[in-house]
Amino acid sequence: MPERNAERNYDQMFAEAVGSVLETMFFTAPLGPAEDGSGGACMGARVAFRGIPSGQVRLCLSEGSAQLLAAGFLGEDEESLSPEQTGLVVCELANMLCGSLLSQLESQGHFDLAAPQLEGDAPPPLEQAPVATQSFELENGVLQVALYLESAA
Amino acid sequence: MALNILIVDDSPVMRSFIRKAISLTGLDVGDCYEAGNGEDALRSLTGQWVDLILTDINMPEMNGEELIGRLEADDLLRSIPVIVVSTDATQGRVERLMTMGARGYVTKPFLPETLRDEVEKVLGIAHA
Repeated sequence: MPERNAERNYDQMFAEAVGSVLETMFFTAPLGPAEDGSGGACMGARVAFRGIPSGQVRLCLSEGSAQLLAAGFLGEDEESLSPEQTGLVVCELANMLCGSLLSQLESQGHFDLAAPQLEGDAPPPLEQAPVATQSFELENGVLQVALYLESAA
Repeated sequence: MALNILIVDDSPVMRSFIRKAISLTGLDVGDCYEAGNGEDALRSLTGQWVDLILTDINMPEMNGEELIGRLEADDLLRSIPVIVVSTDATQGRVERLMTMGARGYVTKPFLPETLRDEVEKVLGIAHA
């Protein structure tokens, strides 16, 4: 029973974090859940955090969605954006999703977030499996978010 | 009187976003300066006076906590109000920074209205 509750909470956490960040800072909203792995080429980014617990948040965003979100965030046309600008915006998206998830995970906790890292279109695999992952259908592709937590020693 | 503001964030796209958000608040803003970390911010403050500092926490070289500590240790600079603009909304962090000397706290993601309300509260400006 507790496991099932935990799963349901993670789903809710992801949905609230993604909805809030996209609607407030990117002027768009997720269209609904997407099938894992759908969407083709993607831009990956991750943010590691230290605290109790430690871990990282990784995201994978379809290239079309990345450009659309970057344009919304910066208030510019997609055509005028450089790949560097798009990458920086994807990093900021990862940063804000990480902060939002952590404040829901442990609102009384204290975390130190590392600088977001862009992982390109072929994110290196992690040894461990995420504790939760969820994919969202966006206007121009898919956003996949995964939360990894280090197990206590 | 127009407000001169210093935005401190290591992400140029976030500085650009905050600058745009400020322009949407309806606040009377004069010059808007930018710095990529706390050290850059302190350097910038030797050249011009600002009425408000908006700073991130996690930055290379000198983070937001260190910046607030340095400002508080300076007889002149401690009078500049600081609002933290961060993804970190954990209660402990907010309390720690407010105790250190931050006057306000805005959590990313935020709406321009939220930023305006916090600026008005911190500066004691009545909303028009």
